[in-house]
Amino acid sequence: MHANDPIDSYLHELRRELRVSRWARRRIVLEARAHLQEAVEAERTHGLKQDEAIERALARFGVAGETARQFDGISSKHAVLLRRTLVPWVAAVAVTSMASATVWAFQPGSSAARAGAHAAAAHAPAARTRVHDGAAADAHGSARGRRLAHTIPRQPAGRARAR
Amino acid sequence: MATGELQGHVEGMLLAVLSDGPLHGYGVADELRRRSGGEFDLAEGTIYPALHRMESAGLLSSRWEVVGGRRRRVYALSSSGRRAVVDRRSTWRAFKVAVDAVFGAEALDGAEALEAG
Repeated sequence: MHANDPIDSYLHELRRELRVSRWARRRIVLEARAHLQEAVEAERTHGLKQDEAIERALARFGVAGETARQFDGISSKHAVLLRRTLVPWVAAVAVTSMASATVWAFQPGSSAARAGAHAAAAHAPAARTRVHDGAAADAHGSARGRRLAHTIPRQPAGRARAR
Repeated sequence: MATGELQGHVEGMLLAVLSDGPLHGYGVADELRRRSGGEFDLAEGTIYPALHRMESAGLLSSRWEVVGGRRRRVYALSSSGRRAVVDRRSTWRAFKVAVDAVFGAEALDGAEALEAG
């Protein structure tokens, strides 16, 4: 920023007068700078000297303090908009993550499913059918599953079907 | 035209300008000036609060674009904004008809008074 540049001075005053969030202030000042630069270029094409073009562009843009006051109250609406957009998005991501974690945890071959299967096999003979079923399903996808399918005796077909 | 007379119509006019396609702030101001034949003496800085307000209300969306090495925020009508343009045009036409009727009646009264005098 050049201390003697009228556009920089104007933008400095505009920034100081704005009562909005830091995010909104940055955006407003960037937009104002781009506008003023384009206005100066347009005035230059009409034959004005650089300092005259700057003066004209600033006059057309309006008094910094008055412009800043018109932004009062808009930043809170931005926050509302942000909350309206962000909160459902975060909630959706959280629900999706939880659902994915649950599916992975109880998918055959997962550590949680294997831990459950081992516990069931160790404590209840009747649970062997479930272990076998899990191992059979697992056998499609993992070596661990195939090993289990070999090591755990298959139940009689009629019994398995009964379950 | 005085700024005060434009109060209440600025947002509708900005929506109307944007109904022809996305524009950045300077482009909106330039188009507004061109369409009004230079009649609207509006401080250009005042269009930004209006644009931001309408974006917050969901009538506009905006994004940064880089043109000629310079960043600028480009505004476009949302679907709500397109509906708002239709509504505001309709409201404006009704208002214009009413104002014309009032001024027309007043002018007629004046002409009759002159004739009587």
